[in-house]
Amino acid sequence: MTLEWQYVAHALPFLLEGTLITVEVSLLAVALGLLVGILVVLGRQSRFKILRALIIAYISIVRGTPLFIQILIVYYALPALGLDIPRFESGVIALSLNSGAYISEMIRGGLMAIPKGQLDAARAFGMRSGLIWRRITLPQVLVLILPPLTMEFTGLLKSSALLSVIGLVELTRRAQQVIGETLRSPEVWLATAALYFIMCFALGTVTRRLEKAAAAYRL
Amino acid sequence: MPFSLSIIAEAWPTFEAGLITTAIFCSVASVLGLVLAVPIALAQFSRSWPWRVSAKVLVEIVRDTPFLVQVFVIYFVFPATGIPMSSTVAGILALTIHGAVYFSESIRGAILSVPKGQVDAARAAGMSYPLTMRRIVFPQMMGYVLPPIGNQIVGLIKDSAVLSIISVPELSMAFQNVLGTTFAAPEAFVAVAVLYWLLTSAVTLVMSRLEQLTPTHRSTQEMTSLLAKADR
Amino acid sequence: MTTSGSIIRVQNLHKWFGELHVLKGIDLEVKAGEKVCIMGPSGSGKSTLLRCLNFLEEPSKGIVFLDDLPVGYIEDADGKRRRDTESNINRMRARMGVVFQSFNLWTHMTASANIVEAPIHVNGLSRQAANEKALSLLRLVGLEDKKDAYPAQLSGGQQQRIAIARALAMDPEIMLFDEPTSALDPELVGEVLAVMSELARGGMTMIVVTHDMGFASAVADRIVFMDHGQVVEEGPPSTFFQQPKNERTIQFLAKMTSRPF
Repeated sequence: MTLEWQYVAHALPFLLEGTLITVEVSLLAVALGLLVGILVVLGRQSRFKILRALIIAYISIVRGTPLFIQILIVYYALPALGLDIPRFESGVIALSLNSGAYISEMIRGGLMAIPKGQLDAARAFGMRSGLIWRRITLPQVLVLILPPLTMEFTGLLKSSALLSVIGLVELTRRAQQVIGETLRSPEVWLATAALYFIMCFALGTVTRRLEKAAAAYRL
Repeated sequence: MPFSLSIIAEAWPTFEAGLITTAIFCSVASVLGLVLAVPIALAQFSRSWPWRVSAKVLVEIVRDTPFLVQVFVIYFVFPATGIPMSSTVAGILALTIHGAVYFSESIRGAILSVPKGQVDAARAAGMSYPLTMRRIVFPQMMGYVLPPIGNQIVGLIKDSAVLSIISVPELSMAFQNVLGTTFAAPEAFVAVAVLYWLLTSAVTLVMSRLEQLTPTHRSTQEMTSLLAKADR
Repeated sequence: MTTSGSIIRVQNLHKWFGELHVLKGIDLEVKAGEKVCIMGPSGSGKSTLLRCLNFLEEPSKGIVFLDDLPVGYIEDADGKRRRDTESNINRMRARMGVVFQSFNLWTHMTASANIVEAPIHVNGLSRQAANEKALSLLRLVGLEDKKDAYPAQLSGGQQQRIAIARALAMDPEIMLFDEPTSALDPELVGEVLAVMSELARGGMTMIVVTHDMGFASAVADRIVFMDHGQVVEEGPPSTFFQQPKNERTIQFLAKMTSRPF
């Protein structure tokens, strides 16, 4: 069989349109995931035992079940509870709930990497805990989790392909549509893989740079 | 809507079949993947660049594309080139390649974590490259390599859920079937979550057992018990 | 059997690490039974030279001969050199014992397993013969009772003595020591130097990179002083320590003797 690339050239604008949705969904998911992650970290320090137990249950469920099933649950089960959520939003919710659990672990790791002596020093200067969090802890944690966070974003670009299953027209779904029209499956799948590859490879390079920078910052 | 255990009980045969399929697919892919992972990792330390480059390219391609797209490429591109492809073969092949690449990264990391002096000493004693690997590097890296490999097998089990899309009758397919016939989302979800948990816990258990058998673990164990004695 | 009478001969050896020119044309000969101490400030290239001797580092230019056989390279008819086969390189390496600064005992093996490893798997010695040999070597270094200990259970001095026994187990024609006592606590240095002196008395050919002036003046037949990748001065300990000629040697010795330890 010979690959006929003119089909791909023809399909490329459509695929790029889907790529845009893929990026959009993943960006939103990582941003919301960061928010969820911060809330989870704060919640784990809460005085309320029930809240802490709920959070631990949430993390175990997210980490213990396939993302694919989580996506199906959010899309098919939430409407049963009377919540009518469109594809895009339910995709973002599923991805960011999934990401949040992993990001919270990154933040915890980042917090532990900050030497306790720095906080002692801040306290010795009479800084209040809110001020310490804002001026000493947070800036350092952000730098430390930036590399794993870009890695998480790369992961989301890839796992957002699963949203094609609930009919969100992102890159993978677009590819299926293009195949439906052109019936040239091999070329389109290879082109789709190439588009994912370009994005993820570029981000991988960025991550390595950030890791180096963060390592220098950490001394 | 009360939670009903009888729904799960009625759907059990479906779940059981899916559980067995997932277990078989992941076991086969893990074993094959580990076998392939060793040469992929070693090639990246090769002195000849064609080996290094081709291994690196394979690793990057697999790491930088979605697993779902890999499944589609294998399922749809191979038949077009004249290689017949069933969903079973495509599923196992996709999982194996995916696993092999991720395992190889762990193995590569573990090889790098063996101190250079250990290899120097072996080379200085006239030990050949394969002998150095077999007798010095591999035994020492076992302690470093088993925990990440365990995590990756767990990841593989979760990734295998995607195979239902090319209609492999595995656990998440069972979940979708039960969901489609009973509309009992909470029950189906709890059941499938518990079953995935069982599978991944089994892997974790086996891996921690294996870890206790590694030479590094034994030597540290002996040292800690000795230190404890000295303290007393 | 050697035509030149020297067991090790180094010819115009150069080593670059990227831009860094670490060895700048080293010539050195060591006769059988001779004890040579290589001294010099850190960064002078002495450890790199030692590692080049048994091809742990590959020389960028120049060549090392062991018994008049080139180590690591063979020359074509047209004089171009190429890398020797792995098995030939390993055969050459097995003839030289190396003792490292950081001991490098294999951490997953007991002391005796460290000693018998290469004799069994490289030289093809039977396990029984290897074990017997290990026992006599352990006796030589005074650690018979530690044969079943893992490296992590041994002190630095004990580890280094096991490392010496491990190197001797291959019946080497020459022993190379790369700062064998630099990583040790001061109170453990003596036990290692004692074993090395014992070895020297037994007639072993030795090349020792060391900072230990006491050991060098007591044991060495010849001191080779290196600085900035070159051999600056060499001679017997008496002349080297009492009448150094080169300015850099004088400076180095002044610094060494003014050290508090």
